[in-house]
Amino acid sequence: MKDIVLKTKDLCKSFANNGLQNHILDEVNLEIYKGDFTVIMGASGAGKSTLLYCLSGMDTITSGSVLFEGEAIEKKKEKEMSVLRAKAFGFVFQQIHLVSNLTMLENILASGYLIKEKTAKQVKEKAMHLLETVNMKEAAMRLPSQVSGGEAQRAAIARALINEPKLIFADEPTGALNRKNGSDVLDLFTKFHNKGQSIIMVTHDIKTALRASRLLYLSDGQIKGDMSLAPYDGQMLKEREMQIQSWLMSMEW
Amino acid sequence: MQEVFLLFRKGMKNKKGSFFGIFILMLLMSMTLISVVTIRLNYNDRQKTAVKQDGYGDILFWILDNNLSPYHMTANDILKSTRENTVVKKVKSMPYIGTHIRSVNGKKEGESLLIQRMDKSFITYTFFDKDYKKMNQKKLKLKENEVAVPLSYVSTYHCKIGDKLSFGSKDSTPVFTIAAFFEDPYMGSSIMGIKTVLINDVTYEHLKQIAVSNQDTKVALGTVLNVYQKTDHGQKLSDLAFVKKLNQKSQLSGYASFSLSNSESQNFMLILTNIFSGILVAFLFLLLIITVIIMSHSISNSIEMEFKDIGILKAMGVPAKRLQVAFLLQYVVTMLFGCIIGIIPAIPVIAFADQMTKTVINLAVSEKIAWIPCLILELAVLLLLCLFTIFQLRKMKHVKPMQAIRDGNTSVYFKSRLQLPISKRFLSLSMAFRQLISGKKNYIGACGIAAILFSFLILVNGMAQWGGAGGKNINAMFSNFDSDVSINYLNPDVKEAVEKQIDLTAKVKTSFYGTTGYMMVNGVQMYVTALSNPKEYTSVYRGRTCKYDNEILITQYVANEFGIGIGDKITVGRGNQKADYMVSGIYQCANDVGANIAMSLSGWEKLQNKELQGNAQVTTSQISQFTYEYQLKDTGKKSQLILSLKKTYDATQINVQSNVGLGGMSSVSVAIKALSFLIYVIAAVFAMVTIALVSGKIIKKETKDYGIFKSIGYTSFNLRMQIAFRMGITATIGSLLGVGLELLFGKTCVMYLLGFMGVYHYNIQSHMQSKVAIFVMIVIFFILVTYIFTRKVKRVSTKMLMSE
Repeated sequence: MKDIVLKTKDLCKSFANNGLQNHILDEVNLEIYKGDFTVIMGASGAGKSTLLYCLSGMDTITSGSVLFEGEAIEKKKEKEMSVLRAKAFGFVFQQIHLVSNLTMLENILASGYLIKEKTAKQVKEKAMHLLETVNMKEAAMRLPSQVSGGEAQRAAIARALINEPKLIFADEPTGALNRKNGSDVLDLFTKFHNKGQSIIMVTHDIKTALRASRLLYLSDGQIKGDMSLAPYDGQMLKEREMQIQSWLMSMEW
Repeated sequence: MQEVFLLFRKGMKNKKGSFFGIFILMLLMSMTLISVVTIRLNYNDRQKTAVKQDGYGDILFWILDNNLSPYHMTANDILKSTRENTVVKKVKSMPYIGTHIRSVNGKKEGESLLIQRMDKSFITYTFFDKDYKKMNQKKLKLKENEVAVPLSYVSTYHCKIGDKLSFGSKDSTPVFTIAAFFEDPYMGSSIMGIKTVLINDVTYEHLKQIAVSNQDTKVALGTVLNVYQKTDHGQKLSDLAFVKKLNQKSQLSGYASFSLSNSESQNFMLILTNIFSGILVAFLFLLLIITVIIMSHSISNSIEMEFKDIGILKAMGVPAKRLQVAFLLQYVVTMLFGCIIGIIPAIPVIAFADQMTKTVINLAVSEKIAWIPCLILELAVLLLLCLFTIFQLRKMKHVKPMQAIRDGNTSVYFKSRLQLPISKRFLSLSMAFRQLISGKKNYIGACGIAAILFSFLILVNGMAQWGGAGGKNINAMFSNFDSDVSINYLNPDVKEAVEKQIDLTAKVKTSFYGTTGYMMVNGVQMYVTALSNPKEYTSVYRGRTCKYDNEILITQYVANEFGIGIGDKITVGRGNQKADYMVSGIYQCANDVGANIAMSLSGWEKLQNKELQGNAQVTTSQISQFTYEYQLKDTGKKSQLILSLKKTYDATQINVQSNVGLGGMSSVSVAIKALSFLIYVIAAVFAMVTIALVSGKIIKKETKDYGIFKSIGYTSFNLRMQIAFRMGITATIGSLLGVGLELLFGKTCVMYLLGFMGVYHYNIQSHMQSKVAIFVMIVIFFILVTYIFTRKVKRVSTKMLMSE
């Protein structure tokens, strides 16, 4: 039995628009397991990113609860949430979102230095190691304006991992990248997942979904489908893709 | 043109925070400008009008009968010869009693007093009741032993109606009751050490008896001449030329114990107004510079924020000129609104300033705004700022539509040589420094403003401290020698015993004696000090003291007035005696706004009646003429000594003082302190507006970065402190630049302002402590206010990073 790392209870998220309520998420109940590479799929505008932001505490919820290790994160104050984001969560954005006047290394250090338990030397060594892992060691001292989108996203992944988070949230991390860069980024996610990292990713791209160990389908504000996949090993990709496609078709995607 | 109004309305709505800041700046500037201009013009106007209305001539002379008797002359002789002078139109005369205040409202003072009868045919006055409201002069009837005093007695002696005033040296001279206050536009200011008070005929006759019978040597009879100049085809000579013409024939200034011309009176009366308006005009000028910096900031920020929209509009075909007009309208409307609304607070500010200074400057000033000059100046300022705005908006011409739409206002950062690595231990500070270096341009304005505010606050602080602790500096500026105790021996027989007592109590370090009075200096009456030991003149800062009897010390004012310097000759006269002296040195003494000279006692004796000349030692009969000065070894015992002397000897025997009576100057010091407080407040508001605009711009620009930082675990507090530290660093750099500004201009500005009071040489101590205090205050202020104004950071949510 896998450990539950994140759980929702009747999670609802609505937006008000000109006096009308728009229910994006409607009593979503799901569990995220430790060590899983969970990919959430759905049609465009289904609320995938909204769900991801609600799960990570980046956005407030309308009602219900999001429990991380048994604690409701919607009840946490700003300071407690910031501790959670620094220590337990890592986030990778579609638009990358590196701080533009910090170098690749400094973007990672900015996150790593928040942890009081580690010394500056330890954080720096870890950051350099991560940059090496993501093939960004040579570009460590470059600014975001001086690297390509793929390189920047790889650095963003390193930033998300610096504090050994329990969960990585990734919102369409390859959405702004070309095919080659996107593939490199996905390889990194697979690499870290294989080392035991729990990942929740949102995508509408089947190629990305191939990397998942678990697929969730979001539709009409609810999780309509939940499928487990064999671990990704880069083999039998066509069969894997067909499996996912037929599952998606059954979801009326 | 519809799109212009559309853009105008949209801009006003979207940038209301920025425009509110500019509105506040304009309001403050308008308020300050209207107040300063109105106060200055109203005071000038009132002084001139009142002098004319009250019936003052071109010059007044006060001549004591005692001064004329050695020359076997009478007041009538002087009056006759003056009337016969071809440049004189008419002369009015009135007898007066010359004396010194013994005590007023319980305080022992030695200020000179000129007691005159209330006589409308000589000079009329405006009277005030206990609430400082104008009284109907017809209703005012002074009773016996009642006196009307200048309104400045309220600030100098904290007088009120019903208080007691005594004069002379004996308790037997009558005590007056203050019955009314009056406006003396000629010499009523608290900084002048000689005042006119008014009594009725009965009281006058009584005092005349005391003077004539010599019952009290400190009560003397005299005549005041109110001299009117003849005009030549509507043209008049300057006061200086007129006095010289008068003295050519009658040596009038030589016989007079004191004289005051119209222009001298105006200078004295308006010293405070000139100093205050000088400080405020300088401050206004700086506020204008700061406003220009802030507007430049705001305009470039506006253009950056709406870069994309400008690109879209241009792509749609809207000409750049129309966009510029829309932007310009936003600023013009804001500035105009600020200027107009600024009139409202100016009204109570003017009223308050008038109330505060009425009892110091002693003028019944109108509180009406000087509309025309104020409006002209406001329009000039508005025009200047509009032209500046138009100049700044020229950038919009160069915005390329597609580039703007595509790239917007995305900042592209490059590495700076000033970059320092971010540090774990000083994370917020190192991040703040990095952000500052990355966006240096955003902080240059705030840095410049911090520099200007720092240097001006140092200047203002220096002015407020000019008096020094316990008036120490005032003494140094107004006294040309050091003395702990000054004694007049009215009874020469007690001198030996008194000196024994002084030596026993506090040990005498050195002693000397001297005299003061008014004499003619190159045909102009000036205050003269003569000392038995000229080495005791301590304030000589160029040349040397007047060692010999044909040498003289002059002030920079006298040097400028006559265009002379060290080595030049000057003629000094008294009565019918005259002698030439050579200038041996320049010294500092602000008495009579610098119109004073100093000589040795042997030099002074050359101008006395021949009977007094040639005596090597001062005879017993002459002891009472001089003031004996004592410097004490044990200065801590000074107060104890003076008390014991006053207990042992009464006012008929000795007159003892510890300092020159400077009650008026201390009120100047208090007034400058009040003004500097006002300036601190306005400076704080300007700094707050600057910080609000700069931090607002920073937050708008960096909103996305705050979202990123929050997503990786930073709190709002961390981010706000980063911004606050940035402004703290900016304030630090600005203040250090301000040190340079202050070193370059500070002394010049202070000396220019102190010059109004006759202070030309002032050792402005560096006051490092106050500089450090102001520096720390500015930095902490910038940090605190920035932290408060960055509340918006709390509202930045990480969900703004969402792409969907």
